[in-house]
Amino acid sequence: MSVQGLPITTLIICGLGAGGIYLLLTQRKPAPRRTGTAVAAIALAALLSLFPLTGGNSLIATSSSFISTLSFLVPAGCGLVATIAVITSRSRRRGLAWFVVVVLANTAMLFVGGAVIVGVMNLILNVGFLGTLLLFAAVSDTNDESPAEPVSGFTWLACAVTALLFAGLLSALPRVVAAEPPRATTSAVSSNGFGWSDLGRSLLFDHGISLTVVSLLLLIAIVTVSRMMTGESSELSTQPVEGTAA
Amino acid sequence: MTIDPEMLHNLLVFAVFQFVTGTLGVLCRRSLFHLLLGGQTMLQGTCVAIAAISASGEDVGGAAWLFLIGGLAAAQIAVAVTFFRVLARRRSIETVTGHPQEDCRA
Repeated sequence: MSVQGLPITTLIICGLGAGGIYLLLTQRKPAPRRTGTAVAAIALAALLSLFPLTGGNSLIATSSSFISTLSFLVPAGCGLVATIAVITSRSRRRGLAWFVVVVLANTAMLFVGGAVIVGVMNLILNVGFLGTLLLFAAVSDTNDESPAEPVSGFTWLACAVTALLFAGLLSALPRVVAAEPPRATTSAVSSNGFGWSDLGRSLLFDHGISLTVVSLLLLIAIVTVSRMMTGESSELSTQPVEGTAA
Repeated sequence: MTIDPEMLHNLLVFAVFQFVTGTLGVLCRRSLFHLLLGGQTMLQGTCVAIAAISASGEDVGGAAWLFLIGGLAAAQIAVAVTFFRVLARRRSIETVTGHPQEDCRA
């Protein structure tokens, strides 16, 4: 069963999901949050049931299509749950832990889908900023819980708008997949798929300017971070004296 | 490296879900750290969509763009987290001393 041709089902699922996420976002007491979790879980299960059953050109090449399908559905389910948990968690560390689950689920899904090189690259690249975030969460030993956020009608409006956006994008997806150009089979590269050497060649020769710009931005970021941290430590060294004098 | 159309459809649904949920997080959360996480969730969805379409069309350009986007995200996160930490430290100093820090260096 596909999402295509089922706008009412899609709208119902999106509405259920938006309601569950609204409860999770706005309520601080356990009971409404449990209700929100249950509603969101039902919506996620319904969304997963709309996925076409396929194992793809999986790394896990088994004869059983059930295991192939399961190898896709398990990381997909974990990723969907973790994505909701990232935006609804109150604690920074818990949110970060769920974000690690999101990254791992994305990588697992790319592996299962057959995009091994892109999956490995996704994992390697995410280590860069996840390392920074994990370091931050490790050193911030105080004020882990985010402060209470005001509940406004805007939250409900945002949930409704994003649910409609999701339904609209879902209804447009089959046309995008159908419009995908057929695979080229004439060149030697495409018949064997691309490898690391093709990726390096493309980065150096086709995207040389972009690579230079990104490298410069990374350099600027490193210098900025070191300067900001140095300024902070010098302020800290002078601050107790000023505070005492005041 | 190929992806069949059904798997491409599944990956795109997943990517759209991550992007929309990240948007909701950016719109609704007030904490700077959670705003950052929402933005990164949106970026993850975009990366999955680019990777899936790139692998489906056997186009190495998508993978190259993924590499460049990852580099930009690393730079953005490093600066944002440092900025957040400096702001939080300055706010705690203001709370202790009871006056704003006009003479602090930027």
